[in-house]
Amino acid sequence: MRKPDSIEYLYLDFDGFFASVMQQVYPRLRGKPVGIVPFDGTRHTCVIAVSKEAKARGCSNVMPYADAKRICPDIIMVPQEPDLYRRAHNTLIAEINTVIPVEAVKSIDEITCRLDAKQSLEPEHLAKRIKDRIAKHVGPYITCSIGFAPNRHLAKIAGKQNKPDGITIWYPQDLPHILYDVPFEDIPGIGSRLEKRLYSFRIYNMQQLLSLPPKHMRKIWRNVTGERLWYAFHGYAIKASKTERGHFGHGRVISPEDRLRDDVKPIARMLLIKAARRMRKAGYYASRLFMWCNYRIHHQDKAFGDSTTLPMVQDDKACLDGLDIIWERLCEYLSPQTKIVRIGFTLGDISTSQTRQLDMLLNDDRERRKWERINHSIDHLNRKYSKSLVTLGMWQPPAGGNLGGKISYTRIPRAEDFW
Amino acid sequence: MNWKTQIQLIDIADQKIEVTCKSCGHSRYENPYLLIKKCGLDFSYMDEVERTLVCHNRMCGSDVRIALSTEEETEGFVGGLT
Repeated sequence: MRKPDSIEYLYLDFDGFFASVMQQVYPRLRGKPVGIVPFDGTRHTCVIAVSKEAKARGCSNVMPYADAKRICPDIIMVPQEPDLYRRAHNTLIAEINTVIPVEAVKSIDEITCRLDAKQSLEPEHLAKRIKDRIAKHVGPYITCSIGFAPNRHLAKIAGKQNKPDGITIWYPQDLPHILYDVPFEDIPGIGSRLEKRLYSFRIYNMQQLLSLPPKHMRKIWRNVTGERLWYAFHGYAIKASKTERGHFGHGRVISPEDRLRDDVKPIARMLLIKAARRMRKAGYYASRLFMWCNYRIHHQDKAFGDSTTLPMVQDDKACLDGLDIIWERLCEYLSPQTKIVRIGFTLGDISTSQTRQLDMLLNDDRERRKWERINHSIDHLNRKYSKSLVTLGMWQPPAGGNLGGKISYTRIPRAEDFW
Repeated sequence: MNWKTQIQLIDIADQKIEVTCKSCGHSRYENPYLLIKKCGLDFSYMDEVERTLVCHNRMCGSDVRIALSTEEETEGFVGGLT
């Protein structure tokens, strides 16, 4: 494996992205601790993301609302605006692309770029150009931290060392000893369970971990990822391979006024239709539908999950038929008074139109084709009018809006997700 | 001098342009290749493209805002590896 002798990658991570975008757009929030919540009007939720100011006071992303208020009583809670974050992301990527081509978008607030020979000689200058450009053309309240290193993984870790608004450069000659003082929680790939496993092997810090041979790390990890991480930590040119799409899904925290079982059904229908729309657009078919939900009964949180087979379909009618089957089972299990807090769907076992295998025993070809044609027309009309103009059944978006377009670190919503 | 004044339509032939009406919010996607062919905007910068396009919503026809949109998915982390 090649071991670069200079820095080759930059990793850019926006500081408190969602909250920074809100501060840029709404001057009243600037310089204040801000928390982004799924919707207004409830304390029984979690804070999705917090601003730099709130982080400095001890708050963190995905923190219970009550905990955030206790740690920082003057934190301002604002409901999420996912379409705004999506637009900010698109503009920021366009601006960065004018300075350096973006090699990969890793999440809505993280990107990575490969440096050319000249850029690797002047990383500070490059970082300054990117930061100045963002400040001038997007806004000074959206800041980013940039890490430079011989590979993406190290660049990501480097970027985290000097937040917010920092620049960190790790040259090949600094490795691996520059990692010795980095705590496990700052290392992507070492979660809490793996940390416990490392302790069981009497490995308590990065220095001890990095002194192991690569095969030993593979044994601890119980798969090849351990060995790959060894090469990444030691500055070799390695990066994650591109992943294949395995499913399409949508989930939602239900707002307090809609949590009774029968009130959740219309929301479930809309979520499933939105997931099916995305699947059709990408040209996939699904042969399994999974549904999961969290519900509250006698002040206890419980979970329900079920699935049903689908005859390799992509039309709304077939997906909704699958929902009816699962919903019937749910109704046998949960009383109408049960409060459902969260619900989600996954269309799984997917394949493309070129590779799908139809059900030999189910002669539904005429019926299926008919519904596919109907759906094709519906999608065309919705695209033309840029909204959910024609749908199967009622279409009444729930309180809080943004159905199917929620904040996601791994998926950048598109305009049609908000129709 | 933002990105719209520095990128030409011909530079982004493999991407889609998201066109959103500033007045009614109607959104659509335009294919840069088709815009070049239909409207002769070959060497136009994106700010000129933005000024040329109008909202397609019936009875609207207002000014629009453009953004670049990619069909590509985000690249995931594999076992934590970036």
